[in-house]
Amino acid sequence: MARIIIELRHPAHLLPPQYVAVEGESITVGRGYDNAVIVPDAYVSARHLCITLRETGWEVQDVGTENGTLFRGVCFRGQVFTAASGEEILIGRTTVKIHLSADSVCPARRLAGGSAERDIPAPLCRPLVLPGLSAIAGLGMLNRAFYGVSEKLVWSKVFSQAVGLFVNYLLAALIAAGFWALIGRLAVHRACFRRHYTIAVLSGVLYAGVVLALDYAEFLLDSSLTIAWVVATAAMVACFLYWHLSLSTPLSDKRKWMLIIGALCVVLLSAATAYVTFSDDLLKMRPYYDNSVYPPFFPFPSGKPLNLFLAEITR
Amino acid sequence: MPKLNVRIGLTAAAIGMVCALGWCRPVLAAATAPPESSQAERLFQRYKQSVYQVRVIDAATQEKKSVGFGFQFTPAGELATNFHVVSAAVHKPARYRVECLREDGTRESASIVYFNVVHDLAIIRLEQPQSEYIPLGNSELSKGAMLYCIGNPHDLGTAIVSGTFNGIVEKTLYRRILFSGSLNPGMSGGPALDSHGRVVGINVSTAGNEISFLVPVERLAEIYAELQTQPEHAQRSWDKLIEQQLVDNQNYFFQMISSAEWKHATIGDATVPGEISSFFKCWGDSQEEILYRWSVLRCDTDESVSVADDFYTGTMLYQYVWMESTGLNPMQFYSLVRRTFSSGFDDDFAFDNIGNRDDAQRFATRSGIVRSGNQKWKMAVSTRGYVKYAALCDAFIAMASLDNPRKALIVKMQLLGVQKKRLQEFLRKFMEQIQWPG
Repeated sequence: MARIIIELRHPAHLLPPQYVAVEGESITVGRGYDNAVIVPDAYVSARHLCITLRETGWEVQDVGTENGTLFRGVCFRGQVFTAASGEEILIGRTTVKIHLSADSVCPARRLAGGSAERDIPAPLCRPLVLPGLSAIAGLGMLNRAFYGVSEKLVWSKVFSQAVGLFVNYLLAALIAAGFWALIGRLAVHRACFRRHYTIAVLSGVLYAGVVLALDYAEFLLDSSLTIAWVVATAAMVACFLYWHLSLSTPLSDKRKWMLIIGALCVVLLSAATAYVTFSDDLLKMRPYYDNSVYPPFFPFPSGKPLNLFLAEITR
Repeated sequence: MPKLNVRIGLTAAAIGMVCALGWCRPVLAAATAPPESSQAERLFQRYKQSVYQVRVIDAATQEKKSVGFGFQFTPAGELATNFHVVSAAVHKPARYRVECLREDGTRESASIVYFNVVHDLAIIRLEQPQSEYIPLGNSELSKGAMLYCIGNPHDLGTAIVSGTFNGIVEKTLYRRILFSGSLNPGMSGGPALDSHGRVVGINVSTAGNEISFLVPVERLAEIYAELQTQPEHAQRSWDKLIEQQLVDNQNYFFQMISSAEWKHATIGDATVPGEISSFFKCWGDSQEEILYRWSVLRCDTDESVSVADDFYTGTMLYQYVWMESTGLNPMQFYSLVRRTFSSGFDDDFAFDNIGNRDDAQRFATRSGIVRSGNQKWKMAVSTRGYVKYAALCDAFIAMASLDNPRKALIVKMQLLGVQKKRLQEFLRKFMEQIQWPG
């Protein structure tokens, strides 16, 4: 008598997998109560599969169901196929895997490490990447502190300022990583703190670069690139959110994108609400203008003749 | 300059402040020679039937919102007072009405007939006029002539204050008589009489310490003459009248500026417009920091036109900041320039000349890089239109020179109540006058 373990997975992975152990050489799977394994799925037939242990593996028969059975990308209806232990068989919306009690389980380490498809690119996991990224961010802060100096240059002051900025930045990254690690712990029983932290630091560095580039572009083109700002920010937020979500949740791509778009919509909507509510007061009582006066790394744009500029005011 | 009408809630605070400053102490020098006091006594006896406390009464509480003073100057029952005393009733006739209180305590209602917002004068008419009135004189007196001002300081009771005539204030766009005597809140709109008992001026404002200002009586005569040619109030709106007066004022202002020879001032390497007209005053300062030096030059006018309690206009101000690096590298220098350029609007200018947001439209800002002469400038021009007086707007301008990585000139300007057309002309001329070789 063999002990067969049937693993059932909810289509959206919203529930933890369910394991049913059955004694016997041959078992039936379906929605009906007379089956050895009962699958609560509306798209599964009353009797759906008949599974028999053979020496070559598991002989699986679809008993002529309405929706059929999907195995290795092929739909079977009333036919027999042979599956190996642990292979995915899709009936209705439920994934079924068949195991023998003698099969070895997946090593705990691999489970905790996650599957390859959900991981961040391997180069980012190299030991020096995280300190390297942090160092780049730190240099950026130092640069900012240095160019803000208008008194006698005291390096200790510059450093302390840079350290202040840097600590704030790292703290923000830590909080973000902690948040996502918690989500991961709850959703997939796995907290990839270090990976989330890498992503957070990387996103900060990249976004600082984008901000600088857009700032200069605005100045050199002598116009405000509001749409470019919104698009660049939204795109970056979307990318990094996608990454964090992939690591910490079992959601399908479609759902991840729905979630991201939803989040961006909420942000946009609240920004629009804030604008409508407060802008009248703000814009009436204080004028706002583009105040960039950038140093001449590049030649300054030639500018408009005075008369032309003044004519625009009166328009 | 503080105006002289008393407002509800402010009275107690103002009296408190006066006492705190030591003004409540007995003033020994006030003991005046007998002939003078008898003169004041005679004048007061003669005219006490012709002077009134002018009150703006709130319709909901039937209590006074603010008080000032007025005097009858025609047999037909026309009273002169300050525009700022009755401005609330002009702007919100449904909520406020004007009432006059005689020396003997009888109340009479009055209606606003005409005013000039720029000269801060208003003419109101009593419904049941008395026949006594004070004749108008002229303000061509010699310095030192005795003047007697009547009013009701801090709503304490009708008082007559003596002082001396000290000529017309210099460096102002509009003539104001400098009166050396104390005017206090509540005396606004009261008459200033010469020793023959003729009106010389109308009390308007004070700078404290016996420095007080009167509107010359000729202005009142002009406005009264103007009134004869105007249709009745029912046929036009006060807003239109105010707008017309503000536009005329602005035209006069810019005519004075453009006709005058502009004096130049030097700041750093640059030559810039300095006191561009006789009514501008300039102030300068400079400092040596460790890695750079700066100097600042600020020119402004004392003129302002009070349209309502929380709305003044008609002032102009421009400020230059010159910065020169002695040890900063170009990036540090530009970073400093940027901070000065962008902080300017908030630090140097008040945007509270319009207290009620419904009176102003939103700011519209244009910024960009502008070529003028041999320099490139980053320039930002913010304007906000007036809601009720659509021809006019407030303009705030900031600009910073870009070309030199070691030296920079930052200019900021504020022009309240201008037409955009005038603004454009003025800015063009102004920019042309900034000379900076290299």
